[in-house]
Amino acid sequence: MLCEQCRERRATVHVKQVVNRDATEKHLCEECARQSGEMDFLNLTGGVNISSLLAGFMNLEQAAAPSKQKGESCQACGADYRRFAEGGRLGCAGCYQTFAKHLGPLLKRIHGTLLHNGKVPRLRAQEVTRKRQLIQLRQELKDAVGQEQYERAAELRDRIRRLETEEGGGEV
Amino acid sequence: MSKWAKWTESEGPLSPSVVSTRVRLARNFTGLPFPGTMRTEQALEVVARIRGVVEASGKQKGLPEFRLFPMAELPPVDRLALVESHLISPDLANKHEGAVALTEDQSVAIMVNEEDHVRIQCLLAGLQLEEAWRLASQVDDWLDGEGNFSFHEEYGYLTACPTNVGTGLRASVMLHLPVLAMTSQIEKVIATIGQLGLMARGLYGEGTQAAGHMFQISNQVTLGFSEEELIRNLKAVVEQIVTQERLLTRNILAQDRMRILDRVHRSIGLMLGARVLDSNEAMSLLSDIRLGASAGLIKLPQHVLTELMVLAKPHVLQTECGQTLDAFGRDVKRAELLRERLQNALQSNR
Repeated sequence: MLCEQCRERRATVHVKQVVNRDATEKHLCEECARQSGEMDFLNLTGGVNISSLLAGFMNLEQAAAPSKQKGESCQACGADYRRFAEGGRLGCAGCYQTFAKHLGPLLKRIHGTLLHNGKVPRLRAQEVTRKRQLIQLRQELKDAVGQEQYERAAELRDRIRRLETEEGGGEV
Repeated sequence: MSKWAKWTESEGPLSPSVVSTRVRLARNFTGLPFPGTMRTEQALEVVARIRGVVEASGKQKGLPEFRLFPMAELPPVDRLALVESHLISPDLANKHEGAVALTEDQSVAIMVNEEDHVRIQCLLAGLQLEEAWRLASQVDDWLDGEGNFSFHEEYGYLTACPTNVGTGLRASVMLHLPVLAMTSQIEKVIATIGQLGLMARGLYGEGTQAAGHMFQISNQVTLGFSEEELIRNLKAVVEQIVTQERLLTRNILAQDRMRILDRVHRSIGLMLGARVLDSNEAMSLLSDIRLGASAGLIKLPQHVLTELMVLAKPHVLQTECGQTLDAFGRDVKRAELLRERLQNALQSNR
């Protein structure tokens, strides 16, 4: 089969698009497909690459919450969300805070979880252990309340309060 | 010995099926944007910081001594040879403000200003995941100093790409799996591995077409598990795959010993006789010879074959002979060098 566009080269890219049950098909050669943007989802030189996949994920997030995207940029480095959505790379550590709302679901999709469970820098060990304990206790408290174990819930609440008032309490 | 691939000098556990182990940790300094958004002077500041620490490395107890190589000061052929020896990434080789700090034995490489400010990479022969992690973590502690690295209490170590966040750890193992590949079982292995939170790919090519039957398996997820868990998971899977490869090798030898023997000796013959050898052909011949050595059909130390595999690469080859060569010139030189080295190795192991 020859390419529909140039009618010179062999058609090796077959694109089937279904919009509201209307299916259209295109048969193109690699070059015409690339020019017409039909192959943007593939990185032909190195297979599917991570940033194009991520960008795909990000576009999903974006479609789900389009209104939040506009004009959102990181105060620390100036990188805007669109740049991240396109390139899959964040601008700085601050971006994790700025784009937290969108990054949460994304990280969950990539890693299946949102909580680091590995190495902690030596100097942060105490503080992070306390935070982790708090997260764990809060979950236990929720479970206890759900199961109507009020005595246990009260005990957990007290432990949480004690931990919260310890040195450096509050969010870091 | 080639200048840039000292890790090939030794053999490690589960050699020959496991060629090498790599553990890398992605880290970023606080207070500076990630390399993708940094200005030149900020990039240079990162290099200067690493230079400062590296210069003190010789005096630190229990730590290896590092030497810093800024990319801008390395000739392109050396940069590419570093890539081919698996010591730096292709991305870093193209970064003008990039640098790499290497230990004398090249087991640890600190890549500077790649996608993240710092990528600590530990490369060891054979399957040595725990050792590589321990070494990388030690260098991490040392570079972190008084808390230099960006760390988020929930997300862990922060990285430019969210696929690396958390531990920042990517552990990978390079495997030589000729029999799984020849019997087309490797596709199944690769498909199954994806379900175990791991990723597999053919090195220098895809799937069964992987030149030299070399495959790389690494962890996909970096957040939510401890480094030890990630490593344990990878190790268990690698050991399983190696067991499969060995079982299949035994079966195939029982059924078709003469054919395998023929294949191995033909490849030796070709390598000893060839006067022009491109790198793909060299890889595939070396793979057959390696299979012969691992199946006990010929006597040859595995590390020699790993060394030759790296030496066959175009830029390593040119640094080795100290000449700039065109494609044909390289094929001629490759044939000559591999012939000599293989002959010596065969003679000294007779």
